[in-house]
Amino acid sequence: MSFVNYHTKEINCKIVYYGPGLGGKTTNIQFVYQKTASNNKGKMITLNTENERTLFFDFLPLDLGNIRGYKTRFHLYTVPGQVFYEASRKLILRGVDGIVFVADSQVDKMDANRESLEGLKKNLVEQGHDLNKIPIVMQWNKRDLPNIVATQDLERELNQLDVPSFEACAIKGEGVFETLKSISKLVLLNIKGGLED
Amino acid sequence: MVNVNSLVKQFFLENEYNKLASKIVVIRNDGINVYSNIADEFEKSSIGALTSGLWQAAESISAFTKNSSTDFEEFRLSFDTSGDGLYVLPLSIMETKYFICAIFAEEDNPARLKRYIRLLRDNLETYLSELSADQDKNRNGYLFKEISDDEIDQLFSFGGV
Repeated sequence: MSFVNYHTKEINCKIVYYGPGLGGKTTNIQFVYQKTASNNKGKMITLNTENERTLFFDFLPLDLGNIRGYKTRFHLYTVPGQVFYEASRKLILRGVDGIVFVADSQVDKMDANRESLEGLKKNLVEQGHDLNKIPIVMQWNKRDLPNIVATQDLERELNQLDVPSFEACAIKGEGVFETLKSISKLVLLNIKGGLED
Repeated sequence: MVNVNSLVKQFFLENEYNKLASKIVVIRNDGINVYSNIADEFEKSSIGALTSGLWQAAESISAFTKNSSTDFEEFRLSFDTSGDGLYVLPLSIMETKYFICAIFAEEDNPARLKRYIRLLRDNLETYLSELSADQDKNRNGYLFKEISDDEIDQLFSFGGV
């Protein structure tokens, strides 16, 4: 849940990158890290296995600057994508303000995408979220690879919530900031606690 | 709405608890920092995220030998040697779970430090429950009614597209 400090005029939000294993979640936030000036970012924390698969989470704190006088700080997390880390994914989703679902566009990854998306929906509902209200953005990653699913098919199969979606090639940085900007806007617009109705 | 950050900060400074351990943070259940005696904003955030993850993972592991209704309010989490380490305690502020994490180095008497942290936790809960009742103001609706794409572009002007 986002945190607004009205005295110091600060907003803190938590965004989680979710999706199947090896889909490019960590690559997304690594690219954000690389492109961010050092005074806008903290250390990127990665809790990895020995072969560099995400074990618990990646974490990147970002200071984005001001919006209407509020200093805005986003905390980006990734979940471990491998199937057997379900318990860790549930923990990381606690308090989430917005989700980027990173789907792998390759044909042979569609089952993994569906399974991961179903897991996400189940975990969100278990934690009391309304799937129609929580900000979610889809990212169709790895568009540069051969043997990929057409975006219309990805939309039909995976975007039944009809949320914004972006094509990406995260390893080259394509689509990474477009996706992050979109989820950031949705999250900021969803912050409760205004002074007026 | 009660400003928890200000109240917790006031409590720490009035009682000089900020000097108790080399690094002390108070965080929400989701890792957001509420108070810290650390100057570096990013270090605070990282400690918050890791402490929250650490506690939640420990709860989940403990739940394998406890029934599902166990609450972990009485639990404490230590990771230390005889002089260095960290100590995490849960606390409840206005029915929301928070954590205090003390990180210490070359501490002569970690057991005494941990007792002080437990006392601090109890005092903080009492202090906030007394202050919160008369400071409540309702904030309804959403913080922003609309945000333009230009404003979002401005936020991300440090890099990217």
